[in-house]
Amino acid sequence: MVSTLRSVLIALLLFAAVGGSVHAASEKPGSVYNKVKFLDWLVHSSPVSVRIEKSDDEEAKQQLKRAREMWEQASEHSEKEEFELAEVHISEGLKLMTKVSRKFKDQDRVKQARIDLYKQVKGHVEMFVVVFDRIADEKGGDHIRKMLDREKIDSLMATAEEQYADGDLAMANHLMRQAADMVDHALSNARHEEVLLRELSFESLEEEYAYEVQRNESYVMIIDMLQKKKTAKSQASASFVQKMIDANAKMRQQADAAAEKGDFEEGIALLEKSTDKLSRALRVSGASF
Amino acid sequence: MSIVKNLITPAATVIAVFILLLFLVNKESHSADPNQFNRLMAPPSKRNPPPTEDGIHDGPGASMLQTPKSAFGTLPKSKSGNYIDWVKALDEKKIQPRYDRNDPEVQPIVMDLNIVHEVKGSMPNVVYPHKQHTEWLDCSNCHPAIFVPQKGANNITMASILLGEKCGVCHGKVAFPVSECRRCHSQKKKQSAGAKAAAK
Ligand code: HEC
Ligand code: HEC
Ligand code: HEC
Repeated sequence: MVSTLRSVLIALLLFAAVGGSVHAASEKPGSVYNKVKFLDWLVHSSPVSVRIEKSDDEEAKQQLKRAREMWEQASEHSEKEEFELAEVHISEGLKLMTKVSRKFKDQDRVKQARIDLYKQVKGHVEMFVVVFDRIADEKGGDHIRKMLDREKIDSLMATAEEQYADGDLAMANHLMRQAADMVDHALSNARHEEVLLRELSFESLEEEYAYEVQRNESYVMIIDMLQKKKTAKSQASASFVQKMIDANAKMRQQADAAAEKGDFEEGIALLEKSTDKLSRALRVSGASF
Repeated sequence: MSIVKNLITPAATVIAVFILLLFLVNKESHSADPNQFNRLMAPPSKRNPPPTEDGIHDGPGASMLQTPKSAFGTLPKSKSGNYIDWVKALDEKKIQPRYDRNDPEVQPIVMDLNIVHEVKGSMPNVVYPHKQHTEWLDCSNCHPAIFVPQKGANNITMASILLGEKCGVCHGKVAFPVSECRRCHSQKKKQSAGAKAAAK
């Protein structure tokens, strides 16, 4: 059920996304039959059609009935290979369904979604305001601080909270989104065209040893994946890689033994050497970097 | 389009193209190993199957979708994933995805900030570019659930990426796979002293 909903959704979004720019060669009969099938589903078994049937909204029921007639006629025309006439009825049927479904929004779900969105965007604003302050402090300047109008943010957020409390979730979300856009803009201006270097720095040899273990394991993991996919160029290189892996396992044991005794320096040195060999093995395995 | 509106939550600021990517990823992504290297090796006849055969779509709508083969015709190629260089496709304006589902006028807030992660050994450093991500994605797609926007707060490792966490939440699933080491590990070691100048 969910996956059916998702495919319809994706179908329609996709039409919106690619329909305008990339033109598929119209695969005429096939595509008309498919649309007839789709309309059939929409008017007879889609969640909207089921909800309309269960409701006592006579007007909506009338519209559904008309949409079903459109499907019937489209179906007949396509049987007779009158594709253009079929298309006209398909399009009319889709239009009717679009109109009538508007009235049948799943109220509770929409409300819950708006509440979730509100909370998420509010969290986003609160987090990024703190980050912005940190960056302004780091860069030590009022010129940065000026990039974000704090009074405006505060007042947007306060009004959003009032609307939220009053139950106008759409307005609350609209205002909170504005606040979020302001902070996002401010952050991207504050860091415009910057490069931040996250340097490797270790507080202790023990920490560095832990990094070496992780680096070593990353190589083992990647080589293992490549071995499973058999990317090595030849039998010879495959056995070279295996030899490296085995040698590494031994070296790793020695390194761990050294580390256990507290000799992290020795552990690090052993792993560095071994990982280096693994990196050569990785190239042989077929990874390109 | 209001059928669409009824079906999805307004919470989804997800862009149409992100879903497009989701739907275009090969069916292998649904099996246990999220970062299978074999996508790279799939023979051309098995690449980008039509929606009815991709194992992702079902229901009556699937057969109405444009097939990747016809949609991808003019887009710049890449070596793996779904064999399209989406970053280039966007740069060259070969595609113009809507950022907002409902409003064609909405433009993304693009952030041009590179974060260089130093890596020990012969492996080049990782350059994470905000620009190429924020052209498609909202800040909230990553912050704070995947990455806390603060130095030292994220322990990113290759193992976690291979297991589908951190960068691997997307790379290997809806963005180019982990097998393309050099697209992430793009900063050669010599340059790392002058990282500032080099990352562009
Ligand atoms: C695809 C994921 C992704 C998206 C989308 C994203 N970011 Fe980031 N961001 C990151 C990563 C990764 C880091 C680095 C975290 C670290 O240093 O460990 C980061 C770091 C940051 C930082 C910290 C920089 C500093 O000064 O320390 C800020 C601020 C930030 N992002 C803002 C934004 C904003 C604003 C947006 C939306 C316009 C955004 N990000 C979108 C992944 C993302
Ligand atoms: C929320 C999803 C997401 C996350 C998380 C993510 N990326 Fe991406 N990334 C994308 C998408 C989408 C693209 C563009 C499509 C493509 O190239 O496949 C992309 C493209 C890129 C590019 C290509 C830029 C170019 O110029 O070609 C690099 C490099 C990259 N990502 C690195 C990273 C790194 C490093 C991380 C982790 C720190 C990361 N990404 C996390 C979604 C993500
Ligand atoms: C999607 C981006 C991405 C791709 C693709 C990628 N890496 Fe990484 N790699 C990273 C990030 C991020 C880190 C962590 C850097 C840090 O310490 O902050 C990393 C770290 C590493 C490390 C250091 C050890 C560790 O686990 O921290 C090695 C070794 C490595 N990568 C090898 C590779 C190889 C080999 C490939 C190709 C098969 C590859 N990477 C592809 C993003 C990537």
